[in-house]
Amino acid sequence: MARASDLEGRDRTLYRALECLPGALAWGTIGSIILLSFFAPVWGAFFVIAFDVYWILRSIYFSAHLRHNWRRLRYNMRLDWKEKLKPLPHSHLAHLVLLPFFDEDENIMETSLLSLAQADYDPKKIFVVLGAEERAGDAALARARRMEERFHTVFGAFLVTIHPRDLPGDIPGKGSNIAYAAEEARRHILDPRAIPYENVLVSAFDIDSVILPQYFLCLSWHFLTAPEPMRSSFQPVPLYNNNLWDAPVLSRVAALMSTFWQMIQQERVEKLATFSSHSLCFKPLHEAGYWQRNVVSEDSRIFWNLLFAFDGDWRVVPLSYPILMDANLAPTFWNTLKNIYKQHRRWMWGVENIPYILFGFIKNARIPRKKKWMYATTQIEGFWSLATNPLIILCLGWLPIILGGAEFRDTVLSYNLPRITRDLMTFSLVGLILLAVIAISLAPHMHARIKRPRLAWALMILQWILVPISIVIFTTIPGLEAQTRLMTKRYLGFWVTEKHRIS
Amino acid sequence: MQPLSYKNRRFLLMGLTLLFLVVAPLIMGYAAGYRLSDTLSFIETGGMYVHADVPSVRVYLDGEFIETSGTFLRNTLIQDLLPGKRYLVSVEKEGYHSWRKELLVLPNLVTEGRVLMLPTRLTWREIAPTSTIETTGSARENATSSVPNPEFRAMKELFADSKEQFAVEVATTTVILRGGKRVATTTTIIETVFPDWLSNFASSTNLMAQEMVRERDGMVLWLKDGDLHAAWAREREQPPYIFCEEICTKEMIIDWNEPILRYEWYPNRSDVVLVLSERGLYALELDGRSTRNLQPILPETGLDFRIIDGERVVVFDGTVYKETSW
Repeated sequence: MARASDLEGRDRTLYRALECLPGALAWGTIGSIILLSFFAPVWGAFFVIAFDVYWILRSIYFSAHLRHNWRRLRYNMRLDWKEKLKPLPHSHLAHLVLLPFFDEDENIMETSLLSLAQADYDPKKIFVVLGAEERAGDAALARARRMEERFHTVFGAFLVTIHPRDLPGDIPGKGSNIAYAAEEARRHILDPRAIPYENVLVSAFDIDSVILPQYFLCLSWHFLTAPEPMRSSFQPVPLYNNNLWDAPVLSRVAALMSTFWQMIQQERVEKLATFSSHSLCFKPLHEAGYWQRNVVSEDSRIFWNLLFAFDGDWRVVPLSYPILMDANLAPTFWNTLKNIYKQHRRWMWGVENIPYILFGFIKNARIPRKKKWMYATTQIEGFWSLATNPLIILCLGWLPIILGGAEFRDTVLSYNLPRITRDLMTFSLVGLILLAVIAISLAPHMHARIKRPRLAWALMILQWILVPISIVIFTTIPGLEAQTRLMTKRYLGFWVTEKHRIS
Repeated sequence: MQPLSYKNRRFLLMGLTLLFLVVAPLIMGYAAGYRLSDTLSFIETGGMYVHADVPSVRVYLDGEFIETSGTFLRNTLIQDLLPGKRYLVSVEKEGYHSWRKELLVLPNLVTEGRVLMLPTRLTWREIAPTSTIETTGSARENATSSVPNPEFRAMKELFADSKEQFAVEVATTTVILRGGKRVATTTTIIETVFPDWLSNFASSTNLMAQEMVRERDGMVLWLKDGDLHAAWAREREQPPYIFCEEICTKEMIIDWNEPILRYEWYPNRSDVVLVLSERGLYALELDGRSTRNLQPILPETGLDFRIIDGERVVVFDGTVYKETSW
């Protein structure tokens, strides 16, 4: 089930109403502030001040999570996972890596595969599936074949799957491709070798995902020590380091903000859902029917699919270990900006999960109410705040002064509102120092080809000034667009992020 | 290393929630003008907002120095003032006339004041009837000669033009039969035509019959019996602060000792006028709260003046034109 039209009767009406909910909340909030500023500017101003205070305290709350995860991430990166894993029997574990692609360059595919080949793990226990798309054409398929030729002896198995175009029930995108690839891997790799599904850890990566050598050791340890390994997904932290020094500052800020949000989420374990590259055991994945083939945000949807399939008994184990990916970079600056917007809109389209979650909670009585409430409020609040909060802070805060009329403009409150907002926001910008420090500590080594390294470092620090602009353009506006599209039945299709590297 | 424990996160969340519940109302109250008195009770205070066109002026309140305004941000907000009390604001800067105003502070409201500060010494450029030009001869040495100054002639035309702000030239054609033939005579006459938005106000104040009517940003001025009248003409909007102290009035009469010969808007402002009388040319504040600030531009007799391009003041003393701006 992907949208209301997949249902009939009252369920269809209910699902449709739930599709309208996020957009209605976001636009309702914006509309309420406008009306409040016009008809009751004093209360509008009080709301803005209270909201500014809430925003600062929320930033403090999240920065505590970020700081802790930063320490944990660096600790985990320093740790010798081989030693840690040694006491645990793990020779039975196999890793199935799904690498879907569309028409990305060969060097991007090669970098990912090389990182798998160089993993500190028995390569014969690693099975690689390169998921090609029939609609991408012969050239893309030829690239996959060349990769197969080069790597098929390196790993335990190397399979190229070709996701047929126009399969019934599929939409073009990563979800349908990896669902097809996973089933093909079962038929051609696991079953012929009689490998028990519970011994296989599936990693659904992107084609630009590059692992650190100890990734599979870290993943295996977490799987073997998880309280409920058969009912857990495993989530690394996406670090967009592959081309960080080549990406323009706005792209870097957007990428790092996404990393930081995932780092924060890694500390809110009970609220964590899967995002982008993630791993889980093949057995429950197979039982749940793999990734949903007709949604755009399959990475987060799989978490909800599994939560409902196992009546709420599903969780995400944070690895606090990085997986390296590409920041948005296109041949021209303007195209990079457009791509960042489109990528973020696709991420924000994760809002399509809200009607699915709420509908599932209504229909599934076996999931504990407390859990339903926690997930529902977290998801609704998350998407609502992404689509509205930066707008309230940076733009709508001035509305009581603009719309409040002459009577309000003469009040002490009217004169103090911009001053207090400015002071509170200046105070909250102190948090950017923490972001800059973390970003620098996680930054990759600078390429020798960077001509002005000092300037590059200076920009790496100064780029954080762009956060307020970046957050509105690449979070709030795509968030509002996604929610409005869902509300008005203008559903979003999958958009393949353009991958570009300067070699 | 474990993730943040649920207990620690909960503790942090509760602490920050508590902080929000304490801090948010305090900031809201502070923003609205509430302050803690010596007796530990909350009192309503008011404020004062002084805006100067001149950068870096010194602002005093009841003789006590408050601050020097900025080069770019030239506004001063003074808070924590007791309501119901009159405060004397004075603004000073070397080389400028001082500005003083006694303003009443009201609870939870900000009393506004816009400073009028003219330079004490204005620089005048003389526009003479003739100008001297240097001519270069081919064989002999250079020579000078006087030629009529075109700028002087332009000034003369400008001063001769007595068209008022709302005056419109209307052409009327009269057709008569003369010797069995139709003869048409076209005459140009001057009529006063007010824009539509002003017509209600114009009829209620009999503006058509008034002398030297001027309008800027909704403020209408006219002369009556040698005195200057000022009124707020935008009937749907609240009048600006210069009409209001404890209550707002609709019209102000600025009593001038001798007849006002001419007046014009002060460059880029609708709360100050340039007034010409037998005493000379002055800048006069319309704001009638406490005494009006009056600052001299050229305190001489026998003058006439015009404003060019909204900001250059040109004075004619009977022989030469002099131009200044600030």
